[in-house]
Amino acid sequence: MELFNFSKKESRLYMAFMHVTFISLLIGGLMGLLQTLVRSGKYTLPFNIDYYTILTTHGVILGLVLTTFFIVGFQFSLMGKTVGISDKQLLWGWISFWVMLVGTVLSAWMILTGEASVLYTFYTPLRAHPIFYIGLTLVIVGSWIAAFTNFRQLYVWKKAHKGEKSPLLAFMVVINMIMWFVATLGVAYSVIVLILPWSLGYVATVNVLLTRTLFWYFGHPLVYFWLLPAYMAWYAIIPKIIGGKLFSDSLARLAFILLLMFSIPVGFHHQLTEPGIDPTWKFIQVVLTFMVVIPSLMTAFSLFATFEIAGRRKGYKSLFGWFKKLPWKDVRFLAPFVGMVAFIPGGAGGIINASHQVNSLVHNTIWITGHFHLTVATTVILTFFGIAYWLIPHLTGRRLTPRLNKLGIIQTLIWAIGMTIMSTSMHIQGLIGGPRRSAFSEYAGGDQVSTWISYQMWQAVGGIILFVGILLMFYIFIQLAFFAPRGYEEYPIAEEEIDAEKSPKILENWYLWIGITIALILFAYTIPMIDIIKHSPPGSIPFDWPIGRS
Amino acid sequence: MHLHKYEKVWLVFGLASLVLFLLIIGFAAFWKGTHPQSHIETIDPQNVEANESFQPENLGLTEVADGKYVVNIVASAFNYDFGKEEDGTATKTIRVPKGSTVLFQVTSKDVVHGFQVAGTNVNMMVEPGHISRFESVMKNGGEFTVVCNEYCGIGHHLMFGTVEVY
Amino acid sequence: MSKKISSTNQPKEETNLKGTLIMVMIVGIVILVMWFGAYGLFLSR
Repeated sequence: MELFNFSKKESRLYMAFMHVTFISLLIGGLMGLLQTLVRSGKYTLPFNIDYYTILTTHGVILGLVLTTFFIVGFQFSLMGKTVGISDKQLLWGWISFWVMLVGTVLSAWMILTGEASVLYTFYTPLRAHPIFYIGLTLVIVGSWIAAFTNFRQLYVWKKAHKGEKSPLLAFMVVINMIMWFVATLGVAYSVIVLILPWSLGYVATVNVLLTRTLFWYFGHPLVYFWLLPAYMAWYAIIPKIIGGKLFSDSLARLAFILLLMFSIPVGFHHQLTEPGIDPTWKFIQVVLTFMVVIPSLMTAFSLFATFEIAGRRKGYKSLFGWFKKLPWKDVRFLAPFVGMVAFIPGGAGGIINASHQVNSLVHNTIWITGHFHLTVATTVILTFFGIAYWLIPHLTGRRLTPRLNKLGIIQTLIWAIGMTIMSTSMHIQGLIGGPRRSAFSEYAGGDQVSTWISYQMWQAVGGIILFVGILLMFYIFIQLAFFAPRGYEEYPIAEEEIDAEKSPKILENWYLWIGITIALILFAYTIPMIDIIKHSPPGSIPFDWPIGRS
Repeated sequence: MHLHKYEKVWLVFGLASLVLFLLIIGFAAFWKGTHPQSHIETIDPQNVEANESFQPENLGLTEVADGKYVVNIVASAFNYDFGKEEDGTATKTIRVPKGSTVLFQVTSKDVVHGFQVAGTNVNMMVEPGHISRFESVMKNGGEFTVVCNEYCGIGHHLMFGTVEVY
Repeated sequence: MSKKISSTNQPKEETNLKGTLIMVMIVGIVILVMWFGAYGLFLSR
């Protein structure tokens, strides 16, 4: 396997994305801490800051900014490593970075001045300042530039390597970016064509259900856009770290193809309690949602098998000897591993959420918040941290020292403890009806509400622990970026077995997989979309302060 | 492409579980009719009174048959309009006997709201232009907080009511 | 590292993955228990 060395200017591009990632982590994490404190009922925000301004900042900066910057930067580095990057492509990389950054700054400016307290879902007819929508559009356009640069990178490599299969990681990046592009078309249409003219006052009303449906057409693939880079690391990087080989190149590719096909036509499972969508179509998308579980089941098997085979090769013969001997003291393994464990209850909870009528048990309760703090805020983010421990020093020409490795292990444990406390109490509070997205309130009082508040106390305890974890992670990042001793840190990419089975050619038949993806989307959405438009009620006028802006 | 025999076992087990879940919820949905709420009935959000159910005098609780009730509610930032008590004050609590069947009908005059009778299966999105409807048998007694569970503006957490099942 | 040992000549079918099977089955049981727990709660309401 041919790997490319990074030039200095190349590393600078990838690091630029990492800087934004970790600054976002610090700001977004502080917001999260403040939210849990406010919800404990023991703390009031200073300077008349509104709870929902903080909540919007938290969601946008962690859910949209941190994730997108890390993913685009990490994926650029994967492409640079496996297929290389030309000077012209590097320039496009910088253009994508700056477009995303300008968009982020514009949106952040609106949110922080209270002109966009509409949360990261920006459901109409709450109206934010038009600049907020323009900013979000720029973030997405910037990510498209990155996507098309990645496509170009693989295309150029393929032309120079006729008849060879593409490197696994480059293949995975391209899958993720195709999914991202197809999904973001929906939200881009919603923002640019429906919401922006309406927010500017050029159009009087907006179709609320249509904008919500387009949002969730994007909203579920969004979570897979976060998850797939974690899967990339699990499939193709972790094996190298534990001293093993790829379990199966073709099964990894197949899992990614299935994720591409089934991540998108499933948005209705976020809209199950919606009044305006035919229940039969909801159920059809529920079935499609269950299909997207399959590649994750395959992933679970692949990972354990990778661990077991590597351990047995090293000579551990007993049933679980291989497990005990995994490199627990290597944070590059431990952090992603804790992420994998979190995905077991996280994924199981996701199946419950998507179970049609059972959704009413949990819909918009704080169970959902607990759920995605397991999936994205533990599984995905701990894997991203696990990547950062070697990626940052690799880019800055430094080393992950034993001391920093140890701090990383402590960070991972802090995260595991804090999130167990916070997420578990959120799950339980949600099951007994506690709502999400709400400032502290005693409502009408009574037993039910006081039980909720007792769980909110636990969430504040978890939130404080997690914030300590964030401070520690930020410290480690600064060390790795500027102060760790100079040296060489490996960019770990797993190799195939020498006698590995050849991957079938059909796995790289892009026309076929993209064709099936589009066909599934058309199947799942065409008729309900026609219904939504045909049966649309009179449109909604915009609502500003005190509802939309504050 | 080669699958290890244990991977086949695992995938068959996993797929069978998923199919089982789908059969259970599909049976409940299509044979027992317990779909999530979906009535695809529209209304003009700026003139909800045009619909009989949401005229001021029809808001709140009505007993339509023995043990069968309808509750009409208009949601707006940051209040649920449950109608008025006999003395003219706004109703904040809906009281129904245990075991009764209650049809909740809700619509919004402004932005998107939520309507959840916390601790029951009554949990709906309420959107301008649409009528949200869900019928539930109130099996369990007690006081249940009605919460708006979709963000609707700075007073979102102050939007609530109570359902008492006695 | 694993490079020293490369006894990969036997076909994959022979690879001992008993531990893996047990691990994934635990995952499966977690999924089943959580799902039926939630469904039971749904029915009780």
